[in-house]
Amino acid sequence: MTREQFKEARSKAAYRYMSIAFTESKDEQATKRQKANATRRFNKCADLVSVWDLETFWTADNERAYNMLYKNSDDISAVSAF
Amino acid sequence: MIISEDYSYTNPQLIRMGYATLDIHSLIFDRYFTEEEMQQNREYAERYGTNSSEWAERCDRSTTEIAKQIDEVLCLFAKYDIHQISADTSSMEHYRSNWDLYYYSNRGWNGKDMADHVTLSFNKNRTVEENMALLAEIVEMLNHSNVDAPNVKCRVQYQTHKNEEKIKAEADAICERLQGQTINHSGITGKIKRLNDCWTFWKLRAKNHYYYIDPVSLIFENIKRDEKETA
Repeated sequence: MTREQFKEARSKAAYRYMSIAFTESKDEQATKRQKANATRRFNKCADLVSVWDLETFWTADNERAYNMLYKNSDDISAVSAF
Repeated sequence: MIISEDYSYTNPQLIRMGYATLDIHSLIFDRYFTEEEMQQNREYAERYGTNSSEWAERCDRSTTEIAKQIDEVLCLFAKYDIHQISADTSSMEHYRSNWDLYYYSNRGWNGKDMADHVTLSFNKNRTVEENMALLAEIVEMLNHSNVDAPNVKCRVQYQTHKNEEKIKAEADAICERLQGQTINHSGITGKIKRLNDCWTFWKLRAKNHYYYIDPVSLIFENIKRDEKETA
């Protein structure tokens, strides 16, 4: 997949993850600790999304990791939020 | 040992604009090969194939050697209070104390009783200044050590420490200003709404489905829009 396809797949995965975390954080049945944990996951993922949008994310190491893991793969579903 | 600094998970613009400060996340010790060693590995893989027992043996030898080098590096950290590095420092009581660093390794996860990937994270309960001072001390120590670890790379992973209050206030102000307006967000036309504690984006004509927007991207998208309008 191209870098653009990878970025789109990763953003979608992140939003899915954030959506689940948000639902969990608002679950009335959840304990205080579970809600705090879900909120932490939501915020963490939001931080990642904002950093991924920047060109500064694409360092030589991260470029190399993308080339190794995703460049020659077309399996978009394999792209996770992390 | 190679020491590199990784700023890829920081947000320079946010720091520049005063919404955040530079913070340290962790030190990551991982394998490192020179170009020459990588070429040798490639040649070996091509000669024997990556499914061969020869290749598996070479990988095992390499892992053992790197794990040994990482262990030697970690000996330098003996004076620090590291959570989870041993059975003594793995209790909940210890976790609640003011430890210096948090140890994580791939021991066991890699199917072996040794670690060739180690992460030392900084204590989030301490201030940015305290952690940065500790980092400076550690980097100084690593730079002046005599440990021979040619196949270990220490990546200093930075992060941004956000001023949440300031960001939230700015995102709220933007949301209020754009209330009811149809805008372009990340190339999609729609509207921004404050929903419960979150900022959400609703595509044009969407009735039920929406995306969460983190306040930082809301701020940056707004800057981009303003720049476009000015131009």
